[in-house]
Amino acid sequence: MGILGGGGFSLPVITQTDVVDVKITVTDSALKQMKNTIKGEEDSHCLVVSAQSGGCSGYLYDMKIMENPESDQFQIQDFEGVKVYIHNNDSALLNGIELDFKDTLMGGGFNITNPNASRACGCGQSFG
Amino acid sequence: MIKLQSNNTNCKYYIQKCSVTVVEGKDSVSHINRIITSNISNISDLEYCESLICDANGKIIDAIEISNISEQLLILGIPRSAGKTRELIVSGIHWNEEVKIMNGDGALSIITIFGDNIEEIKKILGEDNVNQKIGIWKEVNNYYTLNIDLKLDAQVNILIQNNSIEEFTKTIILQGVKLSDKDTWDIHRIRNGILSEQEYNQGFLPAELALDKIVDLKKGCYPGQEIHARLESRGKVSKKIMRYSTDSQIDIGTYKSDTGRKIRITSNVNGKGLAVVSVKEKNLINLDDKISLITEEL
Repeated sequence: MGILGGGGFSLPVITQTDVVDVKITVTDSALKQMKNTIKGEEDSHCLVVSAQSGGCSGYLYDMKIMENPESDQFQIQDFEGVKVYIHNNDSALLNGIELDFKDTLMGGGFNITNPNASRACGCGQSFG
Repeated sequence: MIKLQSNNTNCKYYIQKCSVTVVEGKDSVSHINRIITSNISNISDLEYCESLICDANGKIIDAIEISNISEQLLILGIPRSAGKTRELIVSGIHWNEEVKIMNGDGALSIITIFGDNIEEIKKILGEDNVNQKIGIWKEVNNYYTLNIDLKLDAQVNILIQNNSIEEFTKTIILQGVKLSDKDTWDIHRIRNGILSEQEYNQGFLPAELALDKIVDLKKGCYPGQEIHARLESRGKVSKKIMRYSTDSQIDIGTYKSDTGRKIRITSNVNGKGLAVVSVKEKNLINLDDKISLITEEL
């Protein structure tokens, strides 16, 4: 048994409480790319957009195409059959973002514009 | 248990003020590692390490001590920075990660026993109750001990539940260990180059406080890393922390030297203290109000 737990010794858990209703926008080029990527699996798969601590500016974006998560902690938006999932924990950080896609050889790929960010890293992956 | 042996000791104890956060879950190390300046990806059981949490401008928000105890990370920080630090830790948990954050304020404390040499402290706590190895906790009944690496003196930190403090301190007082007042503690930390809230809370960069050793520029991105990397590659740190002594009365605050450069006095006890000064200053600094400081590297 360690000093930090057991034996009737428990500490209060700190949880994220700031949950907002998420509304995001997707540009035509991003939607086209999402449709291409997820084609044929629209019912079973989705795009999960999330944030995690780290990066140069405080938080890092993360985007994954994956099987629809079973958790009820996600807010879901449907864009012409493509579902975008955002977890409640990320709702305050990601509400209002615009998903864009740039089809260029240098610096191409998905790009996120975030109205909640007061700064962003040059590579576009980190914000704060 | 501590054995009563002798009451002839110069050792003192001081109860440190710190915020206590406990992080558990299989992803706790990788989660915390993304936020801090040092690399704890390989932290082993009972290992202790120092680190910093910085803002995007590279300035220090919190100075933390991280320990891996029984698969939980114990994070001790500056009380005034606890809110910011916990907000950062809690808000940045990836939805797919297993991380639980707990507030240990008021439940756990650090008692520091300090003196001239480690053998004297070992006599008080028991030879087998302090690790000879620096920076590794040792479990002793209802508390843990940690042998701290200091330049001049010896120091052992005790991690203890608050409800056991009274019993523990009674035992060491019986051994002759006296409660240290703030000034005596400050003299000890100034002498040994231990920084405190007074230094950390001024918005300095790690290099300005000679904390480069706990900044790992090879571990990947963390908040402030861009600034730290640029400073390191260009070598343009303009000020640094020094230990000073003076015969004059001086208070904590900002002064100007006779060269016109700013001097920030961050700690002072009886004419000895710590100051952040321009790297261009010589070891004898004359302030414009006729005070002279003799400075040396930490």
